[in-house]
Amino acid sequence: MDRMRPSDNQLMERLAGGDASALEVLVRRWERSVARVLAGLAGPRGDVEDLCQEVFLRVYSARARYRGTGAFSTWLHAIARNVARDAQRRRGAFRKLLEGVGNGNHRDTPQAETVPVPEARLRGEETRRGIETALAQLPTKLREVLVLKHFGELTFEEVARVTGLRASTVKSRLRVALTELGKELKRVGIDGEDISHEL
Amino acid sequence: MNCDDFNEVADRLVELAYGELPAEERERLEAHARGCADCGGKLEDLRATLRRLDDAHGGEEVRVDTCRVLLAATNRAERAVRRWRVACAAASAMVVLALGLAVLTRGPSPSRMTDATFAEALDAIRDHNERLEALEELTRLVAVEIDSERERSARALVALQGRLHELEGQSRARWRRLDDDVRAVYHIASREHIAARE
Repeated sequence: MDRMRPSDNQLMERLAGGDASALEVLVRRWERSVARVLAGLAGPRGDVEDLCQEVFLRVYSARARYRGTGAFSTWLHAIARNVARDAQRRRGAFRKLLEGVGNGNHRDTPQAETVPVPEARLRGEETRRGIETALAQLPTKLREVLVLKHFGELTFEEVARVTGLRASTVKSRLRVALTELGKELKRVGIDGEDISHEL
Repeated sequence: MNCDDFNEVADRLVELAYGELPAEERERLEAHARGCADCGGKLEDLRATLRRLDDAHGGEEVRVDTCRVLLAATNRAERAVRRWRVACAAASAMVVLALGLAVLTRGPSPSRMTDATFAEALDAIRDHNERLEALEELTRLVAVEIDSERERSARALVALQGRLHELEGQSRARWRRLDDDVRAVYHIASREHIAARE
């Protein structure tokens, strides 16, 4: 059955040749992974659906230039990373604009929620939001590595290619990111015991 | 194994937690972690954090609309052509203006302009005109390419919509068959129930 399944590079070739139905296959194959990465990088308030569409729009626009020399997943996640960065830059500019007109309270950053939440209130959706917020508080260079590895489900080598880092640096950053995240989760009362049954 | 270089061992623990170590090294590191309180605790913390991250799935409900992507790509290409045309028009205007100024300000005044100077100016204008025409031809070719791209996208959209309708038709037919089956089962069960009561 798998022999019948076209590879990502074959689909990109078909797309470059004018077969737009190949885009549909690529979108269905990768949208979940891309959406998870974008949700992790753009933060809980990011408009993941629009960003996701932008990623595949860039894939479509670059179909003629795509050479397929590396893994498609690496190229795709590099695009997702750039789209998330652009979105954050726009959000930062918008925040500055609001602060410029004397309305600094309009904070639209993932770092907005910093108040510790009592453990008793952390249930279901609140727990999920707490984890997302803790994730968003990590510095960008740590969060990118963690999100690409964990939510993009890339190998260490693939994360290294997407970010332009060495694999050893990726591992170190991932260790620091997980340690910092673990500390933050403990601080807000999401730690140790398995809570998946509550979700 | 010793953990004097704690950071290096900790990096390996991350690989272990993600299940990406070769079997032999994994067993060695797990054996070490069982006997080393620091590394054992670190490994447990990492695994707990990874479980928490799994609880924070985000974006998996997103479904990208491929038709919207194709339409957006077409619109973007059209905007690019419009920008290119405006840029060409502006460049043409600038060249004509610059030429006019050059003819008016260089050398003798127009009334006393010699035949040679006049011919030189005419040649320059002709040369620039040719360049402008070449630029316009290039713009036209780009526009044609974009138009054909738009046609290809539109055809692809139609094909996708056709496929969607086909799938919807199949889905409706299946629902009808299922509905018929349910009715048939209900009738049989009713008959058996009535027969049993009689």
